[in-house]
Amino acid sequence: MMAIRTHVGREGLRTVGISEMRISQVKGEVLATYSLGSCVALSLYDPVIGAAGLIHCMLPQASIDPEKARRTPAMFVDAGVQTLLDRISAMGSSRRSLIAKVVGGANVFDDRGMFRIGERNYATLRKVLWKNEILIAAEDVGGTKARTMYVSVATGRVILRSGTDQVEL
Amino acid sequence: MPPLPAAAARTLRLLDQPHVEIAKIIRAMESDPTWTPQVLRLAGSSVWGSIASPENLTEALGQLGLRRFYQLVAVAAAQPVLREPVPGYGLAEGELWDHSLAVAIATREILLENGLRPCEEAFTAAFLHDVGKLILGSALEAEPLAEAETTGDRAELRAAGMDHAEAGALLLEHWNMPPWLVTAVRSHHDPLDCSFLIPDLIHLADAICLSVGVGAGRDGIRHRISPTVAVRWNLSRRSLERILSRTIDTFAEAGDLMIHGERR
Repeated sequence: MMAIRTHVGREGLRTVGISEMRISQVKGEVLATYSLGSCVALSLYDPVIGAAGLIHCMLPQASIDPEKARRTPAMFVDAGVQTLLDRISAMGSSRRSLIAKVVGGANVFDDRGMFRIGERNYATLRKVLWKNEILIAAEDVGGTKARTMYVSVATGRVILRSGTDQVEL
Repeated sequence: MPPLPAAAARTLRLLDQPHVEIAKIIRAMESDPTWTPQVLRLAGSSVWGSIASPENLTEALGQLGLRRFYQLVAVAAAQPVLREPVPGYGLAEGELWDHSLAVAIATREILLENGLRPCEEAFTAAFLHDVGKLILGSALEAEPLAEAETTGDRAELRAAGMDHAEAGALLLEHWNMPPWLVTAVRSHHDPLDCSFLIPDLIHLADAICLSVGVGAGRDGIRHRISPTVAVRWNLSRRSLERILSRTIDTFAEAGDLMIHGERR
């Protein structure tokens, strides 16, 4: 079992589901999001204010359903990531101190490209982060793996699992 | 091959007859009382199109009608086996059922996006499209993962001499399911030679759900879309994203039907 989880009981594990986001300053918590296929997950860690955020986005742009984006911004990379950044800023975080890590963006085999949602999610995420002057510190994206991501609120460490493989990002 | 529960098998045989007394159908179902709560839960679900929860099987039958009740019974009969873990595919308990539920919902959303009415037969076939994994799972446990650029059916063919679509069709034949259902499941990976469109719907819906990781298992999202099928349904990037968005919303609303849900 992963190193982060051995220090956290089940009561400390906070799941971030598809189209959800969460920010925590509770040191005993681990944020987790599961089975990322074409979806992208972004973790933000600010060691200055001791906050970690995690978002799991499914689609690249909110323009396909602006009303849904108002209700559930985290479904869309552009609306969701901006919202996450705004919320962590409101907690006192500065862009300079944020450590960003990205996981997901896998794609099924599609010669026509229409189903390559993972690529579009990742491209949109890079644009939003670039616009906010945030560099990606580490990432594991693309391919066909389904990935699971754990983020420690205490340390900002990120563990990535895929099948039986486990690495620190 | 896992057997169909006796009460389900008897009920489906009765429902398939041209003239049958309702009381006989109910008696057949009630011969296994452990099954009734599960059937009522499905029958009362908004995912199944119900607006009221039936109090008993007679009410459920009256609400749904014989044709839809037949399909609900077929799905309810398969649920106990679909909820089992399938280690050979890296699927924990409930993951295969949840994937099947999501694919069924996606077939409906594909039709709605094209301005068509939902098709109950496609909905039912989608629930059962991956039953073949239950048969091939143990053969795959010793099989290495497929090579990076190939789909999981290569490993299935090496291990068992058939893919899970064919295995599923054989299982449904063993359960005496109707021919259209057997064909739909058999053809869902390669729908082009099939003369009706349900396999197309399942093929697309399967790809949509796997792409977001629902039921991904050990092969991840290593799945190939037929470009011809995508063209046949006139999908654009935006329409595909709308379908995905509504599928996941409806899937989330069907939380009471999910078994695995978010992994803990």
